[in-house]
Amino acid sequence: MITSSLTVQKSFKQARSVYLLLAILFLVAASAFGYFRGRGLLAMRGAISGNESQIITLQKEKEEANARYVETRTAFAKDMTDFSNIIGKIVPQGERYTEFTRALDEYFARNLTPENPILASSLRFGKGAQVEDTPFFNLPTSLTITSSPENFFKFLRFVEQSGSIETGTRLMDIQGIRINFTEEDVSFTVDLRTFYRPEQ
Amino acid sequence: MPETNQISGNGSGNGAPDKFQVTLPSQSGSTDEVEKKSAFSFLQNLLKKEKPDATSSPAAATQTSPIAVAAASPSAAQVLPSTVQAPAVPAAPSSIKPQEGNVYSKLFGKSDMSQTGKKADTNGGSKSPLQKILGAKPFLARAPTLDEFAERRKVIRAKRFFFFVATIAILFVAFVSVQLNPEFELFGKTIAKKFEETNQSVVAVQTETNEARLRLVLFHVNRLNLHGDSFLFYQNILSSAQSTASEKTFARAKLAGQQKEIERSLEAIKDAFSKPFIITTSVNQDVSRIDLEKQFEDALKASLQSKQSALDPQKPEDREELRTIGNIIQLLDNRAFRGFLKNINLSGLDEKGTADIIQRIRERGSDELSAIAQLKQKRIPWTEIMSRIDEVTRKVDKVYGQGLFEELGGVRYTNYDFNTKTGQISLTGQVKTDDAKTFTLLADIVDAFEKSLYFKDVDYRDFSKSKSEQFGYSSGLRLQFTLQGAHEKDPRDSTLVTL
Repeated sequence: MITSSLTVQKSFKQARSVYLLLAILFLVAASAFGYFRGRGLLAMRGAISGNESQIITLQKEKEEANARYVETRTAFAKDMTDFSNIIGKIVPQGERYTEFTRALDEYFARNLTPENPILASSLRFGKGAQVEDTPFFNLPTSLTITSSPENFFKFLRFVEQSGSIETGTRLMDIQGIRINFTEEDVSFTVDLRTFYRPEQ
Repeated sequence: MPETNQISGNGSGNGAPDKFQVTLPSQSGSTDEVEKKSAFSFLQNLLKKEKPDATSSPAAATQTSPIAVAAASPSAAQVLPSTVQAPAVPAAPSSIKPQEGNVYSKLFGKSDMSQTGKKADTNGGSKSPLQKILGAKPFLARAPTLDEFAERRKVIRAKRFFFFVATIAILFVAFVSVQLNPEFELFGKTIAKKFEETNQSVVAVQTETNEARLRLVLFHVNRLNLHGDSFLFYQNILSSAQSTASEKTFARAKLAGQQKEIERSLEAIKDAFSKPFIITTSVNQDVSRIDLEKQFEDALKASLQSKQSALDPQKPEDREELRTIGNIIQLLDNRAFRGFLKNINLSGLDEKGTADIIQRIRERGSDELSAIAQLKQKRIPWTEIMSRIDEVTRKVDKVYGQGLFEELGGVRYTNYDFNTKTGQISLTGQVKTDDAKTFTLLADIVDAFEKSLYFKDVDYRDFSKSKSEQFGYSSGLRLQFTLQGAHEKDPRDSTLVTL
């Protein structure tokens, strides 16, 4: 009877030990999991609050940057309107060779005086092609002009100063020039590159 | 002395005891008592109905009585183990009178315990109806001791503790696992999801800030180009020999104003670039600065491209924005240019320094005005070239260009042929001398051009002359040479005899 009771008690003790051991094992496992994975979770929580405060600061900076951009645009609106208009004249969108023809004619008419004659006897346009390493296209243009020496140099300077914001004339570049000086005037044939942006 | 209940059972035939008794503690007035009574009456009824054989029925009755009690009334079973010291009442042999013998036989109607065991064994093969009803004898049928109960309670507590710990542990692990999974959204956003979102938000807001800053930078680069273009235009007038005095005075006045505007834009660009372009978060803190810059560049580019795709190039109101976005993307791709703008030193900036900065911006810039400026920079200033040709010619003909060729002789050019692609210049003309040294004049012209820093590779190998009846000797001239680059070295520039 006593032996049986002791056996039962022993088995109870064993069962209790097993439960306690299992509880400890679960505790240890959960703690280990918590240590390794929970640490990451805590770090994430810390990072979230850090990010949130960072977002508030960045939002302020973004608003400041936007406000500054708007303010600057407003302050220099005229500059930029001029800029857009002038760019459109310097490098127009598309060949626009008829516009260019009118512009050249206007130039020759303005500089033609009895003392200093200038006459463009021919004007030819070639086929446009893209200029290497630039976003622009070239419209080959050939002009034959007879003028006084003064107007000849004036025309050369007109071409050299073209494409400037100050002049607002279409960008040109002399590719070749053949000049023939006579007693009173200069006759010359000039090959030009005139530039334009492709049409979108 | 506790009150007890007595249960009596009647045997039937074959010398079996007529009566057996089980003494139970009484809890008078309690519901247990009622339950016990009903349990025992149930057992009595069962025994009456059945007719067990003479030897087994009392034994069976006595042996199964605790079980029957327990089965019939759980409350009674709870009472029994602690109070009933002799649970089984074995059947006594027919020769032994129930009222005689020892205490054991008096109590249980058996002569000794060994007989009880034998009897029980003999009955093992055939189960009584009660046994059939109640099933096998339970393990804990033996009344546990107080110590056993204490131990059992401890086990229960340990078991409860284990389940508690296991539940908490499982819940904890499940919670952590769920929170670490950004995809799990059953109970709302997990910490991992929030973490991911806030990180993305940081990058998104920084990208938007970068876009605003780059728009500002681009605006000032355009403004700088605008004023820079005018600045260089007026500077060219000032440095050109072809400009008049009034042109130069006007240009001088304009130049100062342009420089002020350029400095203003340069300061704004430097200020925008002094702000951080990148931001470190907990996910990118180990990424190198270069890689991080690349990440933010890509993020901004993707954001701009998505905006670009939403715009319609056919709509005039969208074209300007499309051009701006295109220029920002070019600025983003041109890291060297951004670095240059960021590191410009503005202290003690003079006219020359400003012109240098503008030129460098235009060389490196990838916007339209920079592209225009690059084209303009490649242009050959033919008026300057013609001035230089005149300058070189005057070294050998002091009266060149003064309209005295017919009277005094010298050099006269009738044809110029300039080729921009090859940089070649062809001059056709005439030379005239009053003495016979016409070849010497031609040789002097060749050397003068060769010695010039602006021209090289002069080729003239065919000398001829004729005597003029009106004025000395004359010869035709056909010179061919090439333009010499600004920093190009030509050994013949210094080895020739100075004229």
